[in-house]
Amino acid sequence: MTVATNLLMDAGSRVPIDKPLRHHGTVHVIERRCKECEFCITFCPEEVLETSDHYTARGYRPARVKPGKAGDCIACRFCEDVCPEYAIYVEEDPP
Amino acid sequence: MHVDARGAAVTAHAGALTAIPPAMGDTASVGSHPYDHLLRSGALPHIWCPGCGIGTALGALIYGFEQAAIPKEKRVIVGGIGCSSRVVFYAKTDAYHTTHGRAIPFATGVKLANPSLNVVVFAGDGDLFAIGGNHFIHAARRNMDLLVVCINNFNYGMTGGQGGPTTPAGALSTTTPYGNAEFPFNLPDLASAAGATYVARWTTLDVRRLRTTFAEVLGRHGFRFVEVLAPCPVSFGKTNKIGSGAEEMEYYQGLEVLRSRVESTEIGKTDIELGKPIVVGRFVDRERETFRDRYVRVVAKARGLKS
Amino acid sequence: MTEAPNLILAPEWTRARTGTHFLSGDHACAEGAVYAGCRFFAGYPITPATEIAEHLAERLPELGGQYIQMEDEIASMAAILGASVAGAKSMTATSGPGFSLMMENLGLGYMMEVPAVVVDVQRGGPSTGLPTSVGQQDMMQARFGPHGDFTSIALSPQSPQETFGLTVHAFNVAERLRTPVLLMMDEVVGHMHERVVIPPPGELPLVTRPRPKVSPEEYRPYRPGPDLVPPMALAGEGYAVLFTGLTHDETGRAATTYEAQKALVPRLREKILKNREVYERVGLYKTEDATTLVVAYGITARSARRAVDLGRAKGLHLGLFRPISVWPFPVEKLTSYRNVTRIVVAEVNMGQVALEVERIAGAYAEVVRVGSAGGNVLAPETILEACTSMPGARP
Repeated sequence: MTVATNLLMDAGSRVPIDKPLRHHGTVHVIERRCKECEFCITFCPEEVLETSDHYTARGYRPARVKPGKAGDCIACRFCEDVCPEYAIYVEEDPP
Repeated sequence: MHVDARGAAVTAHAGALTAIPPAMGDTASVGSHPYDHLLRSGALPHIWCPGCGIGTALGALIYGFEQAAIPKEKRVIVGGIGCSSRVVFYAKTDAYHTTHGRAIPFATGVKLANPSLNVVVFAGDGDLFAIGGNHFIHAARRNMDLLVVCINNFNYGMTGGQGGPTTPAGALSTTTPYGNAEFPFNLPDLASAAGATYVARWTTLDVRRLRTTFAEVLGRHGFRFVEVLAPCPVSFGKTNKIGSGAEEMEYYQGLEVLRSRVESTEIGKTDIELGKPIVVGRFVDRERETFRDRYVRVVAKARGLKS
Repeated sequence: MTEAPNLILAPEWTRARTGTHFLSGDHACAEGAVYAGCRFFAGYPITPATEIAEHLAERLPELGGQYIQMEDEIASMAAILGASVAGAKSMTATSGPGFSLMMENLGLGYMMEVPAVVVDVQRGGPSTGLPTSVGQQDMMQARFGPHGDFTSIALSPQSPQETFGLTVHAFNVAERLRTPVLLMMDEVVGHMHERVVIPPPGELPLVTRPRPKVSPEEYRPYRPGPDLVPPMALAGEGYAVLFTGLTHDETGRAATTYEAQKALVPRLREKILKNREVYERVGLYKTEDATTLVVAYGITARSARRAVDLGRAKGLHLGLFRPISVWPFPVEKLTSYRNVTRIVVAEVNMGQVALEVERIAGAYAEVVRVGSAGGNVLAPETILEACTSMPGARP
């Protein structure tokens, strides 16, 4: 660890090597568009999403981020790509 | 502003927020989807069933237009009749909803009258290969400069789930209640034999590869054909007990086999049969003069001869 | 790859064929199209219209235009609509069997309000019939061919010279009223050769479709102007137009409701009926003091004129009423002749336009049909006989 610390003299321009490189994102659901097809829920690699308890005006239970799992989104955007309704998208957090 | 059949106030502007009373718990409408300015988003949510794959395919096409940097005013989508052709009502491009099976000749006219346009035909398996089959093979034969996207959900969805030219042998539908007695087309084989210069097949689960494919082919010339296997949970999927949309996607996930290259001699191995592996990938990628390449020479010759 | 020019160009006058020619009706039609600015032709070979396609296969490339032979007439009709929405003046030409195939997409053209010219060089029918012989048997189909309620405009020339002029007129009407227009020729006019004078470029006025005057945000593709014609934006201009064959509202969006239908379909009819001065043309010969009128169009009008002369030589007050625009039928012009006791309708069919004349004039005049099963030009004597036969006599 001492060697690494010496190398990190100008730590501002380098990413610490002891922290994993991980993307993180915030999931947004446009509830009025969601039709409960569950593509996002089924195929999210981090299993961040689930079906809500409440219904939209159209009678669907929209997807939502599981309580407590918001930090697990890795901003892979698969939900955004696969959603047929344009009802979910991800805003990636800055590194 | 006027009121549509759902009683919702709609405008023709994409991106304008619609004045629908917020649904219970609709607090997550924190902003528009990244594609809202590329869609007629006042018309959303669209008409397709929960679990239908068409929306995914349209999103991939929009991604392709953006990645290939096709100028917005040059994008033209031509549809026929059917669920898949309804993309014209949601994509914010010049869009033409024509007659059943006739999108390809209509698109041919559009492209030849203004070759600077980027013309995409987007339709379903019945529209393109039953009633539209003749037009498909001739456009491929001519190597007409068109991208043809076929949403293959193995039945006629809009009209309630009848069998069609891509319904697998033995599969059930409203008009094949005892199991389909016919053999289906192998679409990559047909497209390749007719002269298409780019042929690929993906499922809507392969949305990443589908997006990349569109991004790649939208900037190219010639007759390009992309078959997209999409779930149809309300008709085909339900009738054949494949399940919901997500279950149908998982069904494809279990069956699909990715091949990055299929030789034309092996293209028969890309048949689709119930329960058997489904080969996806890019099957044909070749160079051939387009119709316009050759017609331009005709014009030059005519002018030279007559001057 | 050298870029061939885009077809939305002004006519290229350096290759105009100004002057006097000896042309068939088919060739005169093709030259009329060229003169009018047509730079897109999609068709399929069919007797007796093939010569139009062959002539344009040679002419359009030298003008930088597009000739394409499609795989069938259905594709031809679809292709000319597609070319038109992208800005090209476009045309197709066919005969009876092909005309039948074109019906669905012709209806699409009416519903989408797309300018185009469709030529039917009629031959004997029904079905394959008499491919090389004359007929005028598609006239009711010209009125009612596609399914649904619509109003068609159909023109009928009687000579190669008139074919030239009416083809130009057809394009002008199609552009002005944003509609397909039918040019109903017949095999004799199509194949006969006569003197045709092609005027210098610019002498005949040419019309192009009304264009939007507002920004894309404000534009509505089906919001009509005061003349009931909506301005037309082309593909590629940034208007993101939406055209559909479904019943639609002014934004172009599908609106499959009773209200939207009521707002759209009657307007499509009124658009045509209210603008008669744009297309209506009638040929009148010795009608001022006529007590018997002959109604005839196309090649039959040539015989009818001779019949009128023969009758006049015998002291009969005959006149020829020649609808050049057959649909919508020039009702008011015909019914303005109230001193007429008999109207003879002569056509190479078993009574089609006669149905219309019977409807509008039957109450005050005796309407007599002179027809044919097809394949012959009606002789002047036959028409004259119908003018002089006893009332109530069957031909």
